[in-house]
Amino acid sequence: MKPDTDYNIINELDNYITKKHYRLVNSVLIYKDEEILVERYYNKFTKESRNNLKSVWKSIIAICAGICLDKGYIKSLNDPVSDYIPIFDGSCHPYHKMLKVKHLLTMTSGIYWNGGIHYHCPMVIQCMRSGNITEYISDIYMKDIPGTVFVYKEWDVLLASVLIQKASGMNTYDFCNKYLYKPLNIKSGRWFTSPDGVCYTIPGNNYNGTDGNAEEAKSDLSARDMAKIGILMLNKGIYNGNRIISQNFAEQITAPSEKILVQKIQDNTKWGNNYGMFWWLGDNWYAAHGFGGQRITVIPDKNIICVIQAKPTTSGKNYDDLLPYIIKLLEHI
Amino acid sequence: MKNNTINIRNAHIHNLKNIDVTIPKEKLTVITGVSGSGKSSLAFDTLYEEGKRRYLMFSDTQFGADSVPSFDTITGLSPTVAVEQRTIRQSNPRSTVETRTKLSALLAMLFTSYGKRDPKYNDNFPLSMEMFQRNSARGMCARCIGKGHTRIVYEDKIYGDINQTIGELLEGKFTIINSWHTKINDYLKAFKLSLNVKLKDLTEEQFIALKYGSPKTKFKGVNSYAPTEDNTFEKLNNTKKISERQKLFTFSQAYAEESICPKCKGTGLGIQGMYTTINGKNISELENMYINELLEFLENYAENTNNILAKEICTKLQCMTDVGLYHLTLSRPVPTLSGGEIQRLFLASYIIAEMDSIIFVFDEPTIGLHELEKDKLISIINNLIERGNTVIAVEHDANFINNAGYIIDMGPGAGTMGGEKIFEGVYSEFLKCKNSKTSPFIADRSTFNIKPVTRQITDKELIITGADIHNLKNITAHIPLGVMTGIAGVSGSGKSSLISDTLVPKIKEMLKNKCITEDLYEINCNAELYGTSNIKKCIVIDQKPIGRSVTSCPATYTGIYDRVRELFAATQTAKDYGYSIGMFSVNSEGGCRVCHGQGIIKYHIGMGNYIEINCEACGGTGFLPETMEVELDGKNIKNILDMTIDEAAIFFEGKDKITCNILKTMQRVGMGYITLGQKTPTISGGESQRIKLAKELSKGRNCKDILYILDEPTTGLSFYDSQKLMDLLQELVDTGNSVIITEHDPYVLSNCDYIIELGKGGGSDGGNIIATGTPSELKNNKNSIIGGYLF
Repeated sequence: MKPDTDYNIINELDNYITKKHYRLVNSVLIYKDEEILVERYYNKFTKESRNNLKSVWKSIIAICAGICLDKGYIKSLNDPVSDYIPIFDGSCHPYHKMLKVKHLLTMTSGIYWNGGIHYHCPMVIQCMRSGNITEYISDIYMKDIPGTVFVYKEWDVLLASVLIQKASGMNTYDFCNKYLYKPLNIKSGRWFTSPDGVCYTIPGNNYNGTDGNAEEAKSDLSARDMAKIGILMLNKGIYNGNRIISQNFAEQITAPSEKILVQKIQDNTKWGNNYGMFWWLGDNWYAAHGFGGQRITVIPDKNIICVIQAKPTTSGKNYDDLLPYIIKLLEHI
Repeated sequence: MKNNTINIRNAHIHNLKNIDVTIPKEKLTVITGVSGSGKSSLAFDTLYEEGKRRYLMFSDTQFGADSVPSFDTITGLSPTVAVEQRTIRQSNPRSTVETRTKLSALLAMLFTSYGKRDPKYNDNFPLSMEMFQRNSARGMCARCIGKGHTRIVYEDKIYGDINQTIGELLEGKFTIINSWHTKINDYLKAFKLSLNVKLKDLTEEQFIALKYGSPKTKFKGVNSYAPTEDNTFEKLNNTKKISERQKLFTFSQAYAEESICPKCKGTGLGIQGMYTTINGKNISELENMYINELLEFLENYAENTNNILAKEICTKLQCMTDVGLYHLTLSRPVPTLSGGEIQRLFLASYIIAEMDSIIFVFDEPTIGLHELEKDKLISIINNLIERGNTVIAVEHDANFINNAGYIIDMGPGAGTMGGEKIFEGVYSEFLKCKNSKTSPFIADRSTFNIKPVTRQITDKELIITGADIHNLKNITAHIPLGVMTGIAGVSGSGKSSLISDTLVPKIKEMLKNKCITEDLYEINCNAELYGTSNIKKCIVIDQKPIGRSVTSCPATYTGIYDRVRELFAATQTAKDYGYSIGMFSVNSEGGCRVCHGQGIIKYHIGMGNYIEINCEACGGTGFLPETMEVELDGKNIKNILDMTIDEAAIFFEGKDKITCNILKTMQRVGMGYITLGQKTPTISGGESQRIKLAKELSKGRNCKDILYILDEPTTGLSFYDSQKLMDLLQELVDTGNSVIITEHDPYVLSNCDYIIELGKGGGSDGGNIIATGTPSELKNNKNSIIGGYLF
């Protein structure tokens, strides 16, 4: 952090968070023009503390899929999913024949989804207990023709996780660790892997002897590590001079999906105006979002990355006002 | 001082003419009188509404809006519960007997706690209640999302011949191809194809898109239009409900099937729910048992295991059996129940609650009940009274009135001719009452017009053989034509299965559009029907509501409204201002902008409660002020809608011949008391049926060889009105038509020429024809149950 100058900013920010009763916010980090401008921790958090990823994991999976594509493990985003996961060859449901890799990444698989109240994902609970995640998802009723309707759901990211594993022949965490986390020097525990070999960071208490919270905690990241993912995206795939994903894919991942109307994902929450590939898009920004206020927001025009981490509970807020507030503060310096 | 009576002073809502009544507590009080005389206004709109308002006020769950009181004082009120027939008419199509009674939750709890799990599917993880609820995302089968069935398309049958062109495929299988639908063109354009391309020359992507659609085109694929057996063009074409879209895409034969979901085997549940059993049966099997069988099954289980939860469920099931609902299954959708069955379903839940000092207000509780069941109902009501409750019932049934501790008779006529208290007192005094239109019928059975001779049964008849739908036991029925035939039997004995589910669909199949019904009937019975050549036309008149919109009313349904609007638009005032007919409809230009023509505005006041306030902009009329200024003979459109049929008949005399004709027919079916603008949701099933009858009758006169099929037409009618209706039906038969009536009322059945009685019980105990013959033959038939009650 820049010395002296920003004492006022910090003071104002702390006051603002207190005034708004944002008690669950654990960290706020602003990165601008290659340096950390603001870095505040609350609730005894430090820069070493790691916080739940929640659905930010989806955006990380998208980067992994891009690496698969660059390395040729996945030939094209237009490949049928069944090229990698044979059970989706249409024998369960004819719509599967039309299901392509890109549909998974854009949440347009057409697989029926019921997210339940507060997005508590009752169907995922059933899926986890079925003992075979891939088979369970292949059995689910197909509501829409793949590629036509955007529905924010867990199935698509679960299948993407399976697809990376099948395409690369590696456990999805191992793949991510080798090609993304290590080059970015990100520290993370192993992701939970189901008995049938599927990586999913939010398993819940759905397996015998599994403490879902403990399993999920292994995938937690620090605010600074989250920021690194933002930097990678801001620099269109380059981190510390090394190319991690191709510029082409980095641009594609945050390009708005065609013809897709982004619906509210739950209750009254809408995390953006459009959706790229597991990344949310706004007017001049794109972001990785997670339940309870987790976010990595990138504003390319202003060269800004903002990371917010918070304790994920149903009483959590979106903290949508924090970033505009901070930007305003910065402009007044 | 304890108040032993409920005193209402100066009630004047609707047509009530300043009524004072004193209703004794802890007794059964019957409010009777001709239809439209103000019975419901007194029981429901005055007593119940006030009881509810006071209760909700002091319990702080609702605030009351200041409205003009419709009475001076009411004293002696305690919490009031209404058991209305009409409350159910807006019921949720997904609600079933078990969800209504909350038995689904109890059963789910039973399975969660005590179910035996199949070791093959046991994941050693605790069960939860949702796993036994197919509507829950946690319990539903993912493949069929809880429906229990999935759609299978026979692709071989459609695309088997790969040498055919796209054009041939569509023309061969779609029936009407006058104009190519834009969506097919969209497909052809998106993939740069023409109708002459052969299937074998399509790329895989093109072929898949043809079958299932694709993101590249709006065309949803041929498969999505493939019909099941009941939705083929020919079958749909027989009804008017077929839409333009269906016309273009419906196949001439079946190419798809709704089959039992292979994953959940029709249970709609996930594997944990499906493979958990109580005494060898899973929850889905229990839900599909008749309630009496289920009761026996669970009693057995409860006894062997001493399970308190199972005993609790048995208590509830016993109550349902007691109120005569043993023939239902728990999975039965509520909208398919008759009004009487639903009322008893509510009744069962009150009995279970074991409350005292409650005032129950019933709306014709004996509707749809067999004489045997009426006795049972009366004993249940007596039971409620013994516990210290007060029961007030609006009722016409003689036997029921006989059991009343106190009687209030309203009259003398309907609408403005009614609203007076004719009698108030005990039964023995009531019989002596000279002014009442009801008491003579009760005092002396001979007052009824019972036809002395029945018509000769000719050899003209309809024959149904092999009827086996639902609980019917492969029966053969001979229904004579040219006479009035009554179908009798206790609830659930198979009357509806024989008539609505076998006879009507079969006639529909053979007479096509000469059979007038409102429903799409599913033909899935194996029965055969002979003798339809003897009838020219068939008119089915059911009890379903007339119209679905909140602004629909008798005037709109019968077509009177259209005539009236034209009359208004033709007035000089309307012409001067340039008002078209749309100006005189609340659904069109003439509707108030604020309340959208409803006249009331609903405010949500929390806890799921709404309060309705008259719209200020239009003063509760629903019309624009401009519309209200136009008058026809001194009456504006709202004045006309507020007229009863009787009043309107006088008003329109000489103004419009067609309107008068409809109005007169309405009077003949005993509907003179209803107002032209009465909102559909407040019209009872029996009333709807008679309005439909009037509509059909006003269309053609002096017709012969028409078969009329009616379902309990006298429901909700007083003796006086019943007699009028029966006279009308007899007239129809006399002019050479046939009438089939499903009925419980002994008076109506006694007036039939021929009776077919089903029985002897309901559900699995029913489904047989136990007696046939003329009413006098049935009286002497030992097998007949209704025989003993006939006049």
